[in-house]
Amino acid sequence: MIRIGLIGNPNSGKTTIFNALTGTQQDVGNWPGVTVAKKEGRIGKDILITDLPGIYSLSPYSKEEVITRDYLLSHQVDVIINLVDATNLERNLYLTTQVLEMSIPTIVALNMMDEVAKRQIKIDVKRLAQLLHCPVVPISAKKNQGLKDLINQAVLLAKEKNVSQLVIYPLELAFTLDKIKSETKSSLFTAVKLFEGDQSFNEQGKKVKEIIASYLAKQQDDGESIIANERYRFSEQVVSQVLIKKPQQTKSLSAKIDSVLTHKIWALPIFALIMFIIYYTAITVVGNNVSGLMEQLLTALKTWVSQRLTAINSPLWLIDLFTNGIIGGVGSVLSFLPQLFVLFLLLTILEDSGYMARVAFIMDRMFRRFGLSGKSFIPLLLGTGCSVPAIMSTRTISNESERKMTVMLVPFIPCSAKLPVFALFVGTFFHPLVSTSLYFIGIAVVLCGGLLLKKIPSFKGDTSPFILELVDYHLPNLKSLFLQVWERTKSFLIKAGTIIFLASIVIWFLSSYTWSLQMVIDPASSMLAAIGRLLAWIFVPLGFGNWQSTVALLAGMIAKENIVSTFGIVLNSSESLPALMAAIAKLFSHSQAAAFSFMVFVLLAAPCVAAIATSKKELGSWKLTLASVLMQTGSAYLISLAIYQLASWWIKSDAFKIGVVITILVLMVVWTVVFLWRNRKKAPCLACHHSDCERCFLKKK
Amino acid sequence: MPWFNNRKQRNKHLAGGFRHGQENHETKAVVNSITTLKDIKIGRSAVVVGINATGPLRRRFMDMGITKGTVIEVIKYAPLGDPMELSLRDYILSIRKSDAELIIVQEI
Repeated sequence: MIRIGLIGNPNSGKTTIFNALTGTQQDVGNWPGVTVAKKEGRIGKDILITDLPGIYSLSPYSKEEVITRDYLLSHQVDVIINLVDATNLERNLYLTTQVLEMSIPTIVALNMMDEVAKRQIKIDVKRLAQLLHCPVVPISAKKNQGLKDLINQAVLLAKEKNVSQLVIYPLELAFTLDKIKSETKSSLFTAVKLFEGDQSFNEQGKKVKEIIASYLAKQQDDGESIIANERYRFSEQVVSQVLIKKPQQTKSLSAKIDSVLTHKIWALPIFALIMFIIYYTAITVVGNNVSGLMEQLLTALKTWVSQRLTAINSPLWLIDLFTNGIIGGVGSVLSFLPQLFVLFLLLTILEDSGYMARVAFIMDRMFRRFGLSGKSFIPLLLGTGCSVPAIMSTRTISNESERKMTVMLVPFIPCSAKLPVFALFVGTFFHPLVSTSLYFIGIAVVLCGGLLLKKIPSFKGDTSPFILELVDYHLPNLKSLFLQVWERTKSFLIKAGTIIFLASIVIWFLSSYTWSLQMVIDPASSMLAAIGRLLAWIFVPLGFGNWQSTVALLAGMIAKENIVSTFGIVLNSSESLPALMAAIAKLFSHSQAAAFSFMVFVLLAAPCVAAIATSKKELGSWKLTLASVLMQTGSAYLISLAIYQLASWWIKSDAFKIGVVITILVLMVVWTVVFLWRNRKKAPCLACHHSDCERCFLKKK
Repeated sequence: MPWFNNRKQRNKHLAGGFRHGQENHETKAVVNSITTLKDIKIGRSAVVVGINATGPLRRRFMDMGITKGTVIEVIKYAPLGDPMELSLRDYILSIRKSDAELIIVQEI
């Protein structure tokens, strides 16, 4: 079998090529121990392609770069395909100069040749191959040109095992590197890393240190800078020899689009409009037209299954398990699938077009105040649909503590599954406009949560630099688009499906049986009711200390849609909406304060099991996941408590004086803690104005 | 040059220096003096002289093509005033002002 590693800059078209080459024969997983996606695919039977993370360099500082480096150094590939964006040769060749030093057979794939032709640039491919000492194949991933030739040449190269002998350094430096090479009996790559002072290659002898020191003594720079400068100098020289026609000085199409989309005044309104259109299409248009259809389908399925089961004389419990337990539970989640599919599709188009980088660019300033970066905005946006894909999308955030903070904050955004709850309660107690306030509360809690989490030492860290390439806009490739949407939909189905399936059975069991395993019709005497009564006291200070609400909240842990259906079951009024509303008004003894407190609790408390499981996967530890669930439920409890106590004190209908005092005390304590933490900040540095000037030159001296 | 605690004070001091600078040829010398990338106006270009950062950030800058002698053009600022959009080596890069302050340049 021939193993091919696909390497290249982010946005060089790697995903498109990978999808074009392998189609649906892909395995998607994670690299061991880290949340960086690992994709493998097959061509025929005996070619295995690994899609390596998109990187700019092989430095030791980023997770993706270290993974790629270790993978290549462990001799797990026979041949490397280095994808190079032909419209941006100079920066792309910087990575190529590093890859070519690794003594692995390498083939350079010159992508976006169609775009090059359009811009009337000519690239001398033969000359490029001569200069790089390796085969170069011009391709176009978008138009599916040259891919066959690329694979044929890669297979040929894997058999020949020809390694590029390129040395890009000037004589004296090359001589020094050669000395290190023979001293340590290693490859050029290792010699360069030792010269750079790379910490992961530090088993160097005294002799090597002397060689490096004697060279650096004559230079004004450190090893890392010297190497980087040489690489770019080489890259510039290659480009000057290979680019036959210089690009014209007219404004490129991307620059023209950007003059509108990142315009000083219009950028924000246009962004809001685009988001509104996406959200409106996916949630409202599709929701109104297709989700109803899904529900009808599920009802039909329910009737059909119960008829079938009755026909073969199945016991009553089995029919109930299938219709109310499994189809009722799993179905409530499946009915959201059309909306999510459309949302995924629209957001993937947006992502592939290059607009998301602009969103991060526009929003960065606002979010940095709250300890997040512009890149955190995308997951929060997806969170209005469903937290599961939103949490998964945090992978684009490179800074680890910002990423984890975003994972923990996303569930505060009202997801579409919470909407039925709000609709029911607002309909019963309030004017319709009140539901908007819940979005504002969600966003406010996200921002305050960001401020608070930033105070915790493990999230503190350095404010990460925001260094982002604004890639050229381009139309997404259809095949690649479809594969990406399918991948997301599939993982949602699998994740949500398996968990909801099991949980539905458990809830059904608990609400249908007594402790002595007798089946009951009235849920008030079931195990679930008993559990509810056991825990209801917790919610007395919040205004809804009845077992029905408690049980509904517990069922909501599985899926938030369950809250409404559980109320329907336990209040024995699922037949019509007005009946359910009346029953709920009675249950909450017509208290608006209690109703609003309940809605806020649903909004902020721990998300559904599927979202918690996804959080665990992205946070990487149960401890942190537990902490985030406690943080979410804790803040939900405190805020609901404050709202209920203050509101009922204001209304003076059911005043609870001691409660008010305790609430105010708790709020004061929280506020003081926050305030003290805030003031622990050190005085800013004189030169750079950073509170902790790790990067400042004054510190170095 | 004295160090000021306050950035605004320092900038005022620098700006004052420019405004009350000496006559023609001397003024030109002041304009082309060493500043940071943050102080380059929109539409102007500058040559990188050095990077005042260490470790990962320094390497990241160099990996993105910000090396000595690179010409960088400031294209625009984001609608809220930060980050800034730069053009270098035939591509578009966005960095924050606080990071641009660490890149030492000479305006051209």
